[in-house]
Amino acid sequence: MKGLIAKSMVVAMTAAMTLTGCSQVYKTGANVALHFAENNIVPPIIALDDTNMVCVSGTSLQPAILATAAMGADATKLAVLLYAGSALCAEDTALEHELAYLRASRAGKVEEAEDARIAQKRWSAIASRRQYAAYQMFQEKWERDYHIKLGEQCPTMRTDLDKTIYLLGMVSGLQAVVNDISSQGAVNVPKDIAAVVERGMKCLDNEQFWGTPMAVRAAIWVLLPGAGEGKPDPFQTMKDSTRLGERKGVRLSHAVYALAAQATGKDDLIRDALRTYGHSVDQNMPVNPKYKLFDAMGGHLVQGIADRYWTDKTGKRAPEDGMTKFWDESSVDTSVKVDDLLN
Amino acid sequence: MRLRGYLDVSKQGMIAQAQKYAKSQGVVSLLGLMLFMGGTTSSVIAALPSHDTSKSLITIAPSASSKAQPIVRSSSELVKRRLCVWDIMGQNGEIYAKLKDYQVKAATLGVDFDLKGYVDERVASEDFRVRYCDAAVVTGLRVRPFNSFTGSIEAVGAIPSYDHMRTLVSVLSNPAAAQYMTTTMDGQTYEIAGIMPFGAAYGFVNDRKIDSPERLPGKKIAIFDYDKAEAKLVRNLGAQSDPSDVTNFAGKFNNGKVDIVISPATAYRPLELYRGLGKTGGIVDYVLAQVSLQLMIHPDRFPEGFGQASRTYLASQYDAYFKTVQGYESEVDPSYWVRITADSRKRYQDMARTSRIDLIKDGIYDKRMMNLLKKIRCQKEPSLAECSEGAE
Repeated sequence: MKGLIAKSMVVAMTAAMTLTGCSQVYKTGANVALHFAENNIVPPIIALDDTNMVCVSGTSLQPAILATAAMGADATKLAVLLYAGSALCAEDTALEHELAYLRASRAGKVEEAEDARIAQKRWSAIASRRQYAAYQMFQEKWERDYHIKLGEQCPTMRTDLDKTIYLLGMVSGLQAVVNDISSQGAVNVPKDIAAVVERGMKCLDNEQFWGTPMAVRAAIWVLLPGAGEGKPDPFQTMKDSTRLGERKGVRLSHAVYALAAQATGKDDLIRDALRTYGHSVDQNMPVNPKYKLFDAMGGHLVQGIADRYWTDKTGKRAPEDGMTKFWDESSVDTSVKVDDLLN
Repeated sequence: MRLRGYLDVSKQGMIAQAQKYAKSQGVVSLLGLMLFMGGTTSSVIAALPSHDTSKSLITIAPSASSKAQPIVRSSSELVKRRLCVWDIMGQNGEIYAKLKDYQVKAATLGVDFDLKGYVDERVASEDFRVRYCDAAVVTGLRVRPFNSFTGSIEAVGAIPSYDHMRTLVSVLSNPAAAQYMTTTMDGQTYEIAGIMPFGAAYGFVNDRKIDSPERLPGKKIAIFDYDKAEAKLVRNLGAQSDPSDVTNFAGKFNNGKVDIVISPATAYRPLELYRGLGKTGGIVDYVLAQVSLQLMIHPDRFPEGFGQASRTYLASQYDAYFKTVQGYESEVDPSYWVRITADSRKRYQDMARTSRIDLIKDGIYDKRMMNLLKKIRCQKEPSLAECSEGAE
């Protein structure tokens, strides 16, 4: 994938330079390459189930893709996808430092805990910057092309790619806010993005996007004071969304449910969110082949939440069955009278 | 009044106290104590020592007669305690994130905190009351039933700037102020183990013409119904109060159901208060109150000396909290600020002073805190008319 994009870019740029060298040709060449990538490279990427590969390639390819903007090309769609992938890497690193901080805290290793916390905040800031950049690029293009204001009007999007990028752009904006808060305001992402996303999610077909739009809206009802007034029960809405997600083969709504449950700090909610995902794994839920990446991203996020929950309570990340069985739950059959059987 | 007695105590007595602290803690707290003598200048206030927590940790000795656990650094001797944190965004919020840093620091004080996020402040304070939470972080208004002294920090117009707030936090973190941090009610002892700034509260009005107290009668103002002071103030101003809470005040303003809301700038972006401000509204640049976050503990659940060390540490974090507040205030569209005239400011100040005196009489504001805040105001601006008058 990496090689193909790079080759396309080189061909386009070489052709442009060889032919005339003028900026219009650069622009045209870059746009041709970008459209080629959007139509022929993005769909296979979205069909991959390896989040790590996408995060690493997102980080490495993004500078080259962004460079096309200097040629006057519009790389927004590809850039949003790569930024989102790249932010996954930063979030992973932030999580690793957070887990180290939790372990050190539990062990009373203060310097180690402080150091890990500093590192966590730095990486959360990096994740937030990437996600905010994705949101800004998306916002600028959508508001310009569709003559709308995000969160106020709905764009009339025709292609699935546009709708997918809309979802990804919006979710990136929301994640930028959450990671900025984790970094303690290092990026200063405007906090009203949450309210914009809540309204903006109405523009997507909830069925088509696996229950994610409603799940995101419901999560914001929980997180933003007053946003849930007059709305249905948010956690029931999220739970319903996970069922829809499972029917459609994409469990992004599971991650949203787990994130919102984690924010409340309520054990019963967190465990229910983790169990919901864990049971779908146990039942070998069929994954939508077109959107394996989004399902994998959902799973990846839920795993991170489970690891954080387990490490906080036990000092180690979630074991293999750690989403359905918790450390304080016994699997021993207490109904059996051992003495009767042995004597 | 205990504070008055304290503030008026002879210099010899104060110096003796200061020497006692210096001896017992290995750090000279004279500058901090001088502030309480009422004879210091602003420069002295600014020079208040920024305490080195690590030093105080090591030197605070456990009381032999106390049943409380001593401060320790060994992981095996850490006591596990629950800290309940109010944050409108729960465990994903900014306050919660900041308290994670505090959690690390607390381990050096012998306490391994288990953090729990609360989106509802009322529930957090109730869980603290029934001792489900060993410690809780809530706003000063929710602290009032536990400690009327620090629960009066939010008094109307009493802390006009962040510089005043910084001085207050420094003063209250000084060991000399420790006696005011602990209260006993119905056999329960509570202690304030730290105070943090949450931002100045301003009046958000849907019409910029509402820029002086005279224009308030008849206007509808959203008030937090658990704050008796707010309700009384609005009544005195001839305005109509609309009982609200943190979940619906912004919606009411944005939908035009109320004309005015009183809020820190922290709510401007997340709750989209600019929608309610629209094209005609504004934010009156008179600081109506300073909202504080306060950490309360059940002291019998903590090692001896924990409260003081915690106050010292959190006071040293003032700049970090202030930076967050500044970040939020910088998001406000500058064109919304309504710069009131000196005359209007004077009338607001007079109105606030009258209200405070009134609310002291009603037992809503703590007279000792009002006295301290007045001294801070008068040290920073001795020419204020109130400085030559009594009553506060």
